[in-house]
Amino acid sequence: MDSCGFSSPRTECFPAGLRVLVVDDDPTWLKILEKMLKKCNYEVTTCNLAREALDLLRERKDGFDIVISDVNMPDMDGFKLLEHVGLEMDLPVIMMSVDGETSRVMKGVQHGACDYLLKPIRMKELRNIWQHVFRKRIHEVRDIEGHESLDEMMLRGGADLLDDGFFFGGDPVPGKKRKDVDHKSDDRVGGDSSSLKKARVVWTVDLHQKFVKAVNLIGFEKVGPKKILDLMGVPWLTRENVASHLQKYRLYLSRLQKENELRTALGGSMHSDLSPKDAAAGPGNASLQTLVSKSSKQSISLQHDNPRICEGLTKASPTPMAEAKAAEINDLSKSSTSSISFDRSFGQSSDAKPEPAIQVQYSWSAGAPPLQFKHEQKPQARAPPVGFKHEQKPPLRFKKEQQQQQAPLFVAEHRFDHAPVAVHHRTENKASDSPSPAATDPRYSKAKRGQPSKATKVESTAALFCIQPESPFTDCLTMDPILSSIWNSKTSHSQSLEQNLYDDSWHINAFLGTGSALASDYTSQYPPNPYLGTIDPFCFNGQDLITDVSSLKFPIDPVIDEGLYIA
Amino acid sequence: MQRQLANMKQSLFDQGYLDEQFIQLEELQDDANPNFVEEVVTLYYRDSARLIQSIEQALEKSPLDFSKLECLMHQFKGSSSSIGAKRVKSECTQFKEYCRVGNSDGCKRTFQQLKKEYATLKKKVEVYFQFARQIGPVEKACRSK
Repeated sequence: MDSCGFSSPRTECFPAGLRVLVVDDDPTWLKILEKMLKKCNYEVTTCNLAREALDLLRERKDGFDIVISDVNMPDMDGFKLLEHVGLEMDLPVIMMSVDGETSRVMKGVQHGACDYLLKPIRMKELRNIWQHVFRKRIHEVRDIEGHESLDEMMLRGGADLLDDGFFFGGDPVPGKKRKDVDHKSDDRVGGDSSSLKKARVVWTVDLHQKFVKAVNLIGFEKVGPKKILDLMGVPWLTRENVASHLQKYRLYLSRLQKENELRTALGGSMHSDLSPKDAAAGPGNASLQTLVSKSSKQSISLQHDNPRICEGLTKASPTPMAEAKAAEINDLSKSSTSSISFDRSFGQSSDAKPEPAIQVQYSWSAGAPPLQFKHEQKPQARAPPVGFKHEQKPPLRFKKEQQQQQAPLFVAEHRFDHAPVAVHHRTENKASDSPSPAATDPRYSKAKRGQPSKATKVESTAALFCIQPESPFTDCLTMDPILSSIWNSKTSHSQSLEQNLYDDSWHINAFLGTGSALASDYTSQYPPNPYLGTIDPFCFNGQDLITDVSSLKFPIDPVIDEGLYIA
Repeated sequence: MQRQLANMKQSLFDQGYLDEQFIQLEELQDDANPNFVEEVVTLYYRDSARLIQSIEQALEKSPLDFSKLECLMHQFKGSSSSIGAKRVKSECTQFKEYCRVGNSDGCKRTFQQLKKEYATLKKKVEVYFQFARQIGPVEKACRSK
């Protein structure tokens, strides 16, 4: 038995000696797989109970490189095991089943499986499983370089939060996860890329603001790390820092779009989610919770009022982000002010908009450190896990968008060109990292997996924007649905969440630019902003979140202050 | 004798009793596990016997719990795929389909058919292994020459 660890001995003999854990309740298959894997010169450990497997994995923290598990097991659902492994151990997990139905496979991918094998399994399929381990390592190295490990941590924490229902309550967990992830990433990459580790760049609100400003100036289409770097004028920032941040940003935006679509599909189911989410608000948000619940209720009622808007949006598959933002804004207004703000607005039942936007604005202008952000946002929304953190941006974006109504459309379209690529990469990368509950919406997983689908969404979103009448208010509303969808989708890949945040910002901008009237409907539907709430737990580096927010705020400040939202 | 064994195996394939998976198992057989295939098949029959029993019991209930039946059959199908029991597998698929549409009679009928195929296959592979064991030592003797 080759006891290759992940240090040099292992890399020398890789992939031989790969430590595989096989979990299957069928003894016949267990025997066959064991034999097959041994023939591949892998180190095999078999287990016929999921719980046993988890214990084993926990006992030997770094004792395995990859896990292969059956989907149907008596003591625990294979998908659950998949999530646990991804969250706790961050190992690549391969699912197996005799059932190859698309929905099942999709569920597997959504939960974070890096591959899905159909039984009967051929030996040649098992021979190549090492690629998943290798790929993970490479990505981790890359991540460390571009301080993306922060994202990893964020994503992981986020995934967990998603699991819990996107509320602040997950604070302690994300923190813990953060440490774990941190530790893990470091450990994992230590041997391979110690020389590649660089000082982490903290993307503060200001920094991100500069970043977004630069991107906008250049034009999303023509944007490139070098150009951005030049424009930003930050001497200590490297091109690589910008490049990785840009990638994340793109992913975020595309995820926003995905979620938007998701949201549309889930529009009807939002109601039921509201109450649990309200309850979920973190400890620090006692008062917020009340506000949130209030908003939720209002959202619900709003939703009823504007069914057509939602439909309209649905058709266009608006960005989830936009919806989320709308929801967020809606919530904000609700929580912050009383119905007064509602009255002012825009003519649609979603009165919440003006308030939330303004509220958000204020929080941001405070220039609060990450923590502060969290608090302020929390009241507004049940921020979903990591990914949602970014979503806080949406409200800001709204405002921003309103100012630049023409640009957004352009931006949105461009963004998708890039996003799919990034996302795809991410998905792969994080497949086993964030086994959060699979998004129920197939589109979500589709978005994750396929670039083409994303592109389509973007286009449709863009189209949607075009159609919309100009009204900042609507934009806000749109945010809600997006938010909700994001929540509901519960992306299993925290990565995608993160990406979505970025994407959403963009989308929302685009959306806002066109002033979609549909937004209002969405806002009403969705519960309090998940984005805001999430920031807290996920911010392994709170700055990251803030950055997003502040960037949004950047152009919007004047708008908000002037009560732009008022129709 | 070798040819006889080969012919036996070929007929099992031709008649659709076994599929490619069986060949995979044979390829796994080596010096470390010289009777690998036989061991696996034996394990299969031992383990699946309890599944068969569970399904039988479930079929006696009234009304039938289709989702439970489908679940049990899913396990059984997975197991059967491990040794390449082609005919048995197709009966499993048929059974699951009947479960999906809620056809009690269809389920019961298919299950009877399934049990028949299951038993037939068992006999055939038993003969096959017995034969293989007989000619096995002979083979080794020849090789040493």
